[in-house]
Amino acid sequence: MAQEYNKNISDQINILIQAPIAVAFLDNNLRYVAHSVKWCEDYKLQYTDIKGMYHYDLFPEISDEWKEKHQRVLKGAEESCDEELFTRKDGTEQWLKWSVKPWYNYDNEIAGMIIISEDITSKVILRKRDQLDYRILLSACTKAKIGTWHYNNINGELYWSNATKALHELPEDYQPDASTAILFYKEGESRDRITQAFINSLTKNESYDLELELTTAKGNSIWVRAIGQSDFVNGVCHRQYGTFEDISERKRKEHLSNLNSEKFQKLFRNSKVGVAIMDATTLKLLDVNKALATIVKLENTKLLDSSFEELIDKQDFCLWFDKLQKLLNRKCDHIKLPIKFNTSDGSIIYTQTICNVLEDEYGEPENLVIQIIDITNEKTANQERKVFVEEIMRKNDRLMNFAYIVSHNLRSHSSNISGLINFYLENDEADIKTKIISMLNDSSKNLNKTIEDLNQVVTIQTTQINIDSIPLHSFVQKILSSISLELLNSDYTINLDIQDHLIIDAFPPYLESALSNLITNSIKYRDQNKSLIIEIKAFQEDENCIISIKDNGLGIDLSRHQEKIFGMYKTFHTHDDANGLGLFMTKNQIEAMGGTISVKSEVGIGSTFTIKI
Amino acid sequence: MKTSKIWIIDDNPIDSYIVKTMLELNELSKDIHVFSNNKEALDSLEELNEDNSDGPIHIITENKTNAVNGWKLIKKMSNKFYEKKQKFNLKFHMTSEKYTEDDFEKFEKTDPLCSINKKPLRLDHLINMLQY
Repeated sequence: MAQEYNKNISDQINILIQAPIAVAFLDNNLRYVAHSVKWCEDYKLQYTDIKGMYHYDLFPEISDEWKEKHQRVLKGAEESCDEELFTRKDGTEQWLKWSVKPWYNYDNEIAGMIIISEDITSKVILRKRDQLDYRILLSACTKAKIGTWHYNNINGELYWSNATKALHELPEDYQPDASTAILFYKEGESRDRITQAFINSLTKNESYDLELELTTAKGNSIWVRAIGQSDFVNGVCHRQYGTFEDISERKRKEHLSNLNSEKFQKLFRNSKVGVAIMDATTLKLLDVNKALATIVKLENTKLLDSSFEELIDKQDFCLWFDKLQKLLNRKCDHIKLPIKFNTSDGSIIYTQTICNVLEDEYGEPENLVIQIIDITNEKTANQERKVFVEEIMRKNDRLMNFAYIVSHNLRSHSSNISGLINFYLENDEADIKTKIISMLNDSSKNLNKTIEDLNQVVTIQTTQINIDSIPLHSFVQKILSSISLELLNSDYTINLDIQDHLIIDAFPPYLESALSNLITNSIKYRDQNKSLIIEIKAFQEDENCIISIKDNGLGIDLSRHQEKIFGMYKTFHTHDDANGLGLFMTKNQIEAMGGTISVKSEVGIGSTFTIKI
Repeated sequence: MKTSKIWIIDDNPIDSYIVKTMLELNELSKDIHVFSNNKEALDSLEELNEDNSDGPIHIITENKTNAVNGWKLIKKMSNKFYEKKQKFNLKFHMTSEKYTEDDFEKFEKTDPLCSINKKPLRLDHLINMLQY
């Protein structure tokens, strides 16, 4: 019996040794009777067999409190603790779940105690970390105004975190209720959507993430982001939970931004100003508006295939690109530059452009916005004005010159007359007096002539001219017949090269006067050593009619007289009829009809006058 | 009274006639040449070269007309003498109905120009010129 009992004990001890928990049997003197291998492992003892060893030798750090506890157990008490921290002599901390009980011998007397312990250090640390995380999360959520909630689908309990309550402007002691919670959402779209999402989550395990509007307990309207999901067990929803975030500010900004974007889009699309958005590095056009397509006469799609460089004048691009570097380096905040665009039909469009930078979220240049205003009309008007002003200035110069000459000539005659009269009065000699009277007569005639000239010139400036369509060939023939009397005495050839149907738009009296004067000049200033040849040619060039009158006469030294040739009272050859008024009048008449006259001449070769009307 | 050699350069025959006749009638000069433009006057410079007269030559010229430009004449004549290293006693006299500020400034700067006179010229103008 005793042998069987001993065998039983021995078996039990073997089982004990192999037990997966730390367990130790101590006798009344706290010496080890038996222990599991795990005991030595858990307490990191240097021995594997501690039978017979004294407990307090192995654990010298054991406190008096524990020693008392041991004594109580040896008297029959049972002690246990689910979680207790022990600090070992080497400083390590150990969390233990333990229980200490007395054990009894055959005689039912206390023979010692059983200590069972479980090292729960790692579990405790994990739990504490989770708790800390949870606290941090909660605090962060509260600070970020992110509320949490969960709903127990089994018992219908709804939990709201304080932040959730705060979002609803509810007191912390408010008890939410599943049936009324949904009523905070605004009636209509918001409430319908959350209801559907909640049902889908409940029945189909679909999570949701919605931006919705709700009205708080105090009646304020806010935007929230509601996120929810479910926990399903065996196809049944047990729990739903999620977060709740106030996004009113973001929504407000989004709204503003949308509004701005919409405004920009409207401006961009409908603007009369051409606008292009392009990549700041490749200079490819990313977007263009209709106005730009109209300005450069290209379709939007073709424009989007091109780079800015291809569209504009090369020199302008170099200038612009140079400024772009400064813009990108923030040395200026925009580029304002007149730029010439080469359109698809080959014409040039003058524009004024302003270029600004759009930055990405890191403040780096991302896109360029260029506004382009077509100023071709202004430019053309400007050029026309310039031409007009130049013409006015020239006319003014001519008038000044005219006034100077007239005043000089009139003065010259009046001075002659006054000089002659003085001289007449001071002289007694009859011969001289007769001579003076004759000179006074000449002077008076000259004065009349000058006044007549003056009158002619003034007439050109003031006459209302009426442009007619004149068949040039017959017109020139008529002029030639009227001056043929003068030609009778000369040996001459006139070559006419004018197409029969050629029509010129001019004022007949002026054209007649001008042509007649040029032809007469050719006759007057002929080279006596040559047979006179006059060639009169006329042809249409674009919208103008060109008439040229070429002779083989004396010619004029243009290197000396270029500027004076059409001047008043300028003569270049000695001839009785030369009065210095002909070419001046001719030029004035041609210009009055909106035409121009130019001359090529060489002394000894001849002259060619070209009229362009 | 010692008479001077006088050149009249003017494209207005009436002016030339009056001046020439006044000089002759008052016996102010017996050696008067009339030219109607600069070119004629410059061409006649050769004639001067052969002349050994050491008295002054008064040149009455015009400010600016089509054929005569007194300023250019003074410049060209002076240059011609400078080139030939000849020293003639040339006294220029400008005449005109009208002068500008510019003309008066040029007068100050033009050394051989002795007088500047307003047309119509009277006898006292001529006597005054010959005083130089």
